[in-house]
Amino acid sequence: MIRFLKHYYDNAQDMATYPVIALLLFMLIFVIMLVLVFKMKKSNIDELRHLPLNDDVSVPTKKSNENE
Amino acid sequence: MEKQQFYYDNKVVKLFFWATVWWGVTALTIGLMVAFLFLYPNYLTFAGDLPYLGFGRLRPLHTNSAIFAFIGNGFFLGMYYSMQRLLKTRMFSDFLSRLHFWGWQFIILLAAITLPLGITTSKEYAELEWPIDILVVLVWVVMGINMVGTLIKRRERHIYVAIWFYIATLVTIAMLYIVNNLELPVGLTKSYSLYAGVQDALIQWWYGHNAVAFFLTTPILGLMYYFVPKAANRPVYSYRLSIIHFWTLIFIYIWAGPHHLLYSALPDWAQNLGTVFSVMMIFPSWGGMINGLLTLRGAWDRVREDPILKFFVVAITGYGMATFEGPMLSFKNLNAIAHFTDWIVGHVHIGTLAWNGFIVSGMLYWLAKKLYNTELYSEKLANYHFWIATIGILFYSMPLYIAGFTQALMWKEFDEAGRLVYGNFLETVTQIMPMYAMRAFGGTLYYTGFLLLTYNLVKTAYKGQFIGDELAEAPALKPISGKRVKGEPWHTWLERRAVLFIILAFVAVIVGTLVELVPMFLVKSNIPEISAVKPYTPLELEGRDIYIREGCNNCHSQLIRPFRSEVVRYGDYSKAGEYVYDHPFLWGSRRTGPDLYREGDPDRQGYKDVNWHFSHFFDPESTSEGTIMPRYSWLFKNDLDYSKIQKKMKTLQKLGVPYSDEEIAGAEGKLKEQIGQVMAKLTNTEFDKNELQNKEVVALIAYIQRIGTDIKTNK
Repeated sequence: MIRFLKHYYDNAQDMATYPVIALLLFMLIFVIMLVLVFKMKKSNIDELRHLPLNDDVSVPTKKSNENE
Repeated sequence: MEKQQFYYDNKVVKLFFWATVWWGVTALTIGLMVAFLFLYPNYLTFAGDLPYLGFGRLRPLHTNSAIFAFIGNGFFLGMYYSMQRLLKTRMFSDFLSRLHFWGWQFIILLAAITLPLGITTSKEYAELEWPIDILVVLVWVVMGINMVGTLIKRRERHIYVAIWFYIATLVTIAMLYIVNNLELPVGLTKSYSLYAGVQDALIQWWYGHNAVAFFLTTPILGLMYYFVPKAANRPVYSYRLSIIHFWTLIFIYIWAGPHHLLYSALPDWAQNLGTVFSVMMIFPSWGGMINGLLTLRGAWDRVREDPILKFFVVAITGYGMATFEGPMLSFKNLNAIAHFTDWIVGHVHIGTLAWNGFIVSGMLYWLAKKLYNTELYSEKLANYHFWIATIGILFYSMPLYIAGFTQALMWKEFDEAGRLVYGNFLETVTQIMPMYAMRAFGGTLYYTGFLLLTYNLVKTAYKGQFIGDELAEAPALKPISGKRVKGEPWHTWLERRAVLFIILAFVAVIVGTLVELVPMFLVKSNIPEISAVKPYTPLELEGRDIYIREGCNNCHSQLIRPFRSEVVRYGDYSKAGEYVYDHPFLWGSRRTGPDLYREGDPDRQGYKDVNWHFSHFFDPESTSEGTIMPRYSWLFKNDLDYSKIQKKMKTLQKLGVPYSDEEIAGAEGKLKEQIGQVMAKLTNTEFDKNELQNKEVVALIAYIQRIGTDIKTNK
């Protein structure tokens, strides 16, 4: 596998293309994500952002010291 | 739906809680010891007799204890507390939780023993030798299984943003740690990096940079997204922003490593890539900072009274400062000034002391109240801690910023005749001694604050009542289709697909990794070969291993950048092809002392002969008045142990260093012959030649006089 790749890369002319392709790919995904995120409804978001504030489900009891 | 009862495991949280406090005190103690070494270079080695606590060995212990012991335990503490609550379940396995805890503490203990002994790979924040590396990976896997298991048995449909950051930490650190630490063992305590020179440097700073990203940033952001809303009793400012923050941050961060290697022998395309992505980093970083700070909207009046919120505000501000500075430092023109100076030390301490230290401190206070079901022993003391430590951070960083500029300006100043104004490097060191004193003072303040925290927490624990297994109840999750239901936003859907989420996070970090690293290993033209460059001789190799053992690379670089000021001072700039046999590379990241790459070139301005080196290692003050280079008396007492030389050469041969079998067979003879050549040059009668010829110092001098001399053309 590596040998095959090595041969391929040895003959590659311009390595700078790969970062550019990766960057464009990222920008594309980023923009799509931006659109989707801003299309999210407020009602959907509200529950999610309150997760840490609604996570207190402990039951105050003296028995808590005992193991399960 | 019927509620199920279960118990939170507070016992493991308590273990990590006190480990964080303990290692916080320890890491800061070592930091302070190191800071005072700049003022009194020999006070911990008893004038050079005791090797274990010299700067070169203690500095890695400080960084490792601060990163992996203090902040590491802090992250695990917050993770074990918040994951159970956010997912409404006990951790997957009590056994794995304990194994993770004790395994991690055992690793720290091994680090605390091996690093002072000089057992090190020399690669920054990855100094631990291969057996400990394997332990780290195993313990990390234990933690991973425990995390994923907990995610699977959760009672909350969606995984909250804090946990996304924990997941990113889990997968990326695993990848970084394994790849950077690939090495071939010579014995139990010695190995050589699989990579050499420029490639090793790229891998190391891909790791080093992302250790900051994924061990000191993403886990802390996770803690921020949980504990800031908890302490402020406000939901996170923008959930949309947190989605964008998370994905862009983890995608972009991984690319930025090469900004540690600007103007180095690394190919230009890789350097430029590092700069571009570093500048882009401002956006996700500041997105996160804004999200953290604005979570406090409507709670600002409470910041006045509540020390916990004070800690969080300064922490997030510190994050904003450090993440603005980072991209700025990645511009080549600013990097040309700042790199190798104390500016960088100031920069990273804004990150560790303010951002990491204060998030963890605030979290410790908050958790003390929760775990011990009581109020803090003293809010007033916590406020004192806050103010003393905040002033401490300023006293720590500001002098180092000034020192950094001073160094850079002095290193680069020419007179009208075109000569360096400060040709003697030492002048640029003595100039900034007051700054080092102020830094030590700032460190002392921060340390004092942390001691107040320790006292306060111990008293709080005594005052309150700890509940080891805390009863809770929540309904079980109703089975639901794995596919998106109608009207369900795509990310909300992803947040309930934990395993898919983990895979996508891994994809995000692997893209940058592949694009950056693969060409470096496969494209030959990236490292032009230089036929004059030859492998080290047996004696030089032994000397190089002593250089690594003593951690010389913590103060001296071996990389001359293509600037007039550096070429005039140190000699011809370094070429990629010169490092092809350097397993590991030893470029260093700081110049507390001068660069040593062309130290052995006799035509170099300021060349030092063998006599000078003997005197200098024995007592640096004797040749350089006012120097802060420590004494290395033990190199004059320890016999050179070359019993493993053939094994070392064979290991390097396997890694591609062209030693012939004959050379390996005749290594000892060659080594003794070269000792004779070095000793012949020693004319200083203060040293007993017969006694010295078997000592370690000879090998070190042979190495230092060799590096960077291969490409010299004979006149």
